[in-house]
Amino acid sequence: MMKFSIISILFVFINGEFEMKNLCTDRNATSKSVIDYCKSQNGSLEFRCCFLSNSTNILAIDLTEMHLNKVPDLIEFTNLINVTMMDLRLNPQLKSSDKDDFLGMKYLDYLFLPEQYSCPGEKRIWQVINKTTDPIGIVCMHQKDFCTNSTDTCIEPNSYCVSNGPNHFLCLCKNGYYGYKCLRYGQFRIGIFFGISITVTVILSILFYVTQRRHVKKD
Amino acid sequence: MSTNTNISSETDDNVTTPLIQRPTRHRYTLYHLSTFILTFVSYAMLHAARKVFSNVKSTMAEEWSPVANETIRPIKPDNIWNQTRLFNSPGDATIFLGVLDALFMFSYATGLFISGIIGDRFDLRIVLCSGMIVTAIMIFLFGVLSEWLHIYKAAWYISFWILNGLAQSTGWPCVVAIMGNCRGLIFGIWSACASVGNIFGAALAASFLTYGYEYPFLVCTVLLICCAIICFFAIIPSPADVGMEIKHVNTSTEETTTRVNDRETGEETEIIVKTSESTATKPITFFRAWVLPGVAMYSLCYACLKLVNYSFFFWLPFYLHAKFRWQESDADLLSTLYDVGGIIGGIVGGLISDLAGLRSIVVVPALLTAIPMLFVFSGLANDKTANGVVMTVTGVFIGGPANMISAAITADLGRQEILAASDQALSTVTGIVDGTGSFGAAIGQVLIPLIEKRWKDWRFVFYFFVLMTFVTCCCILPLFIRECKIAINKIKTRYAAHRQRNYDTI
Repeated sequence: MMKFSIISILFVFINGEFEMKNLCTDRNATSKSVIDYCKSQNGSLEFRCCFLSNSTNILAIDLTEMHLNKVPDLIEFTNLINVTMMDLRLNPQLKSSDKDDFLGMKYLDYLFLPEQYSCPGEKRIWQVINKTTDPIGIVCMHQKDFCTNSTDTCIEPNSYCVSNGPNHFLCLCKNGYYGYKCLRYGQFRIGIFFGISITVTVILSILFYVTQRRHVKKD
Repeated sequence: MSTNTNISSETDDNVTTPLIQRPTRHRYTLYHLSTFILTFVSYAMLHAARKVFSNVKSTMAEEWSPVANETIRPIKPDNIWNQTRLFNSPGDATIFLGVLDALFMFSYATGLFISGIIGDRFDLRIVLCSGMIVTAIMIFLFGVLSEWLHIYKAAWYISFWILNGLAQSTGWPCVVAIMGNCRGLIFGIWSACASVGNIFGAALAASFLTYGYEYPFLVCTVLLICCAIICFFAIIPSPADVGMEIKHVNTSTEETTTRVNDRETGEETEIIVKTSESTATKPITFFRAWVLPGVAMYSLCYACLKLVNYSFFFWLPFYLHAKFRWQESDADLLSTLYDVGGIIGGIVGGLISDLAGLRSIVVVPALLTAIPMLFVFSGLANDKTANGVVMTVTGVFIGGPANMISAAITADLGRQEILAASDQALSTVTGIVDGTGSFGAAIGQVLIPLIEKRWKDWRFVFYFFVLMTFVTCCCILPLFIRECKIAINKIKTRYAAHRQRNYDTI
């Protein structure tokens, strides 16, 4: 029994580590941009990934030549949440899927893409878009706030727009509003309500009984 | 001595005018006052529960569906905006809510017939209180529990709303019967209870809707239960229970003697004996109640009138939103003005007809005035003040007669002298009249969207209303003609008596 539980725990641990290492440990980082950026931010390079000293979240990641089909998402790789630079060049099979790509990567400031994949949102989202030559691709720099640059965001009442990655946004409930579709506001005071109604009922019932029904003749 | 307007069958044998029980010179005791207030409040609470549903409908439609007509991109996060709880869009939910309305009206109409019969056979107080408690439970299950436990099932909503309709139907026949037993009370003011209930329900919905749509339902539930408890300990269904009936029996004996004296002195002694002997009351049978003079006619007339009244009241916010793009809150405010008009019309009409002693001479002219008002309303421009004023006036001339028929006239019908004093008929008659009326209203609920869809123009709906109002008038036309003759006779005799007195003094 003990052996079984130890082995299962170990298995889960390895599995988890495995996934993370899937992204980072393949070989060393080769992208010059990532290496330079990591050095400038005083981070430490672990194979492909650059970490800041006090965090397990990836700062910059070099995903060149990984034969990727789709952009890695935050659901699988939760430590990409604060990634600031991502290099996806030299992935000729990479396909874009507007709905989920880069969802949640709010701090993505430097995005290097292969030439077949255009910057998500184009000039609406990125301040600078350039072509790169070594390796060949596109660089999208400095994400703009989606909400301030778009008119058709949160039209539902009581909600406000919040940027959620390049070309993504969230409509959250304004202060005080909550619940489904932000329809609710304020808390119903159940205690006070029940207290008052029960008290009034008891008083009126006694009052009326004493003055009225006591005189009912039963036959 | 009573001042009953005594219409003998000299003029016509087929249709006798229902007698109005004019207030005798009773003292208005504490019992009268408490009965007035308690029945008023009870029925207002029941009606408020219905109105709460109407006003929270749009919020319920939102809660049951994801966000409608997404723009270029879907709105996230999903758990706030995109849960498909019951329907795929607020539009589908609105259709379902319309179906719920129609089902409610049909079950309410059916329940009225049954409750009327029950009310005449059991203690009115018990029937009323249990009806209120069952309604409270149904509303709780329908609106509150389904949201707290996230039970979003169409079958759940349908079954509890139908049961709600059946439970609510106990209210009206009982309160009218209780009020009818207390003679000498002002029915006109009392008949405003439905409209007051509407206004209260609208206020409830507006105040508590921000906390979530289930809270108006919760407040209604608790208030209904409290009301039921207070009524259980307080209502006296009939003054006989506290020994106030003895006077009444004496006066009725006097009345019969005077009537008989006018025609045939031979029968005098017989009739006196009959009335003083009968003390036990037995409930009237359903079919005999239908055959009572005036019941069938007023039932049909009320069916048409309630169709107009209810359809106006239910579809008005929708019409204002569709035609003028008004906000929901503005449209609700305007339908409140219609209710206010109904209150004024009911009170004024009730008072005038109480004083004159004749009902249909007030009802028919009011309805005929309403017809041009409907035409005016259908052609109005998008001006809030103009719409508000016309709405109130229309409410006076349609809601007023509707309130009068459902309360005062029904009470007259149920206490006619045609019935021997031993027959308990008031509750059954109320059930019949209001039941037929509610069937009319239910049919209207179904017809209005059909008409609007078929002709794509709201004017045709108004033409339909005009037609129904006209049919209403036609139904009571025989009665109206008869009452006109009586009124003219009364004026003539009073004028002749006045002249005679003048000659005498000279």
